[in-house]
Amino acid sequence: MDILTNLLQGFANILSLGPLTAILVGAIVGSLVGALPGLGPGPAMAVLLPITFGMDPTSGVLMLAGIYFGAMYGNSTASILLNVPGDAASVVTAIEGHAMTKRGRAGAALALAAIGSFVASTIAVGALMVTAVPMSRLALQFSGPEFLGIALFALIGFAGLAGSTFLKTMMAVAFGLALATIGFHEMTGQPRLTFGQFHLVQGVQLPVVAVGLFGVAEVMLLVERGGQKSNLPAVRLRDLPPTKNELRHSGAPMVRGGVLGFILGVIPGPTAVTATYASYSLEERLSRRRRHQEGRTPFGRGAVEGVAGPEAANNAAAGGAMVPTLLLGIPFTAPTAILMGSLIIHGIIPGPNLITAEADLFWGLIAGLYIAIVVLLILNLPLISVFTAVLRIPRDILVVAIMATAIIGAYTLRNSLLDVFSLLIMGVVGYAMVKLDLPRTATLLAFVIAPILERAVFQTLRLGGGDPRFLFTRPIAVGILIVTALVALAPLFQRLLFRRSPAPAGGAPSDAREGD
Amino acid sequence: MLIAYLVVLCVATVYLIATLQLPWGSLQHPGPGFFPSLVGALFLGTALTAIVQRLRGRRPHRREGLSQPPDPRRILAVVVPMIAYPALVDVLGHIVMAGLLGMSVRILGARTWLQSLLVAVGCGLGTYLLFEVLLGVRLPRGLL
Repeated sequence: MDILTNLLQGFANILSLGPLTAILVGAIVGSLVGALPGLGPGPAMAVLLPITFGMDPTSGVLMLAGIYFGAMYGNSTASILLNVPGDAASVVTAIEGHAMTKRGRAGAALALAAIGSFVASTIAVGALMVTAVPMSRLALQFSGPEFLGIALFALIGFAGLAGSTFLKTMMAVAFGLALATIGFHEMTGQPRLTFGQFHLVQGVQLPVVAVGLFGVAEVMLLVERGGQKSNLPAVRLRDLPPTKNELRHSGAPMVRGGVLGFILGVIPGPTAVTATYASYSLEERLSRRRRHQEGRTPFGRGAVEGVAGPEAANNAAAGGAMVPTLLLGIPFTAPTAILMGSLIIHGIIPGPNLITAEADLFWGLIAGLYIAIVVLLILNLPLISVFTAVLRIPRDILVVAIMATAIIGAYTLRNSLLDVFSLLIMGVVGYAMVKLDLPRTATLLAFVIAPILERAVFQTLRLGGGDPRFLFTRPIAVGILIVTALVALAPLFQRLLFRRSPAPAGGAPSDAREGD
Repeated sequence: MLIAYLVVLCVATVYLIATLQLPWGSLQHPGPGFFPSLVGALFLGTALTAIVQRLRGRRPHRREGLSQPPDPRRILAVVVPMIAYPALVDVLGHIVMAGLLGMSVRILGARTWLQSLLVAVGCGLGTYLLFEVLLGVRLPRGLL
């Protein structure tokens, strides 16, 4: 009952022009960038992050969350129509989705992807809402050692699941941590590692890192690849409704994908991607068992289960990723790291206290997410042809628009042109990292997590009277560290589990290397 | 690719040396240099390991490196306006510099001069109208 009252209060708080416009803008931008191959939610959220500073915190976060969820809706479009995945999380969708297009069922595939996304997001936001209070209560008992464990879990666990080698991920992590230590030291108020540059006393700005590593670097990759023209199949409104059979066969995969996605979304790593693979292989296995049933299209020839399941999974994973970000204050993915950055700049520190200290914001956010989900369904079903039209926007115009927004965003942070220079430097670094196969997400995560990690190290040492072994006397912290070790070894399990995993179809975009 | 890791090594070394100038404190009362020096050690350690691996002739990671050599003109078409913007905007103002950015479609999209000019005007005036007039952001003005 408590939840219901809070939720209604949340709806009451955000039913005004500001937040609703923010949701709508976020949903539209998200659907657009999701549809564009090679652009994921990370770069879009990074580029628009500075704009949220002028908004009230709830609207700002809702706009970013709208982009995040919207991109997870929209990323199936290019996969299904062109066999070119919109981002890494929709690589799997291309397999059955494009096969459906070849069968002339493109409309139904798009509709089922949208409905699947809707069902899964509803499950995920519901789960977020229900777990929020108990999770916060549990996390309130955490102190230094536990947060140290979770921060290491986020960074090392990511290394276990990211595509790169452990060494490379750790190098990217070290770089992100190093960047974050520049500027004022939180505990002593002393400026450090500024190399005599006054500009660096305030530290390296999160938007500069996020927009540089993702936005600018992404533009350089887009430019380098050059423009490819493709034949876009036309999708008319009357092609959209799935047949009764298709609907019947995709209902259960949507729910299964939703639950699977949420659970995987709560753990670190490129979970949206992992979740789609897990859902695909689950549905494929189940389908083989039922292959003699009538009216089922086998996998490989455009099975609806292979579209509905993974598309549900990547949306639910986005919802799941909100749990550690909001309730522990430790983001596990690049988009949620940017989301958290927006909150911090507004002076709101996500963590176990969020739900009590910022109850209006939290419940407004939950209510806003429900609205965003519905808005996205409405946008993506009848207006799908509008979003597919963005696939026709010339690349060069798109590049210019992204660059102009990125430069203005960096400049407006502090009205400083040095931030624009820093942005370029981070862009070149991000480009080089992609070329070296160093995961940019790990750097961004480390940059955001660094202050939490440093504080946790201090607290642990103080609590233990200078003895690091104190950490091992805390059962929860030890448990988290054991899980971290297991996740770090996950590639071994993964190789055994996904030995038959589908090969990525089409030209995987740059982000396929690291998820998100 | 070895060169790239040598650059990383240099950055990590400079960083670690800088962190060692800061007060380290004690385990009980860690100073501002405590955490950064650990980070610096990790940074340097990973860079050294990567270089040693490379020198031992271990095969590069399969996805690493350039699949097809990028056209340097296309990269420069993006990078040059980005350097020019902060360097010259104090003199020429936002509209001109954003216009220069728009001109990059001449190379990126192989457009005609007229088309590029239209994109440039659109980019300069469009961003001005959107951010300065509509959103109330103060863009750099320049002397003009």
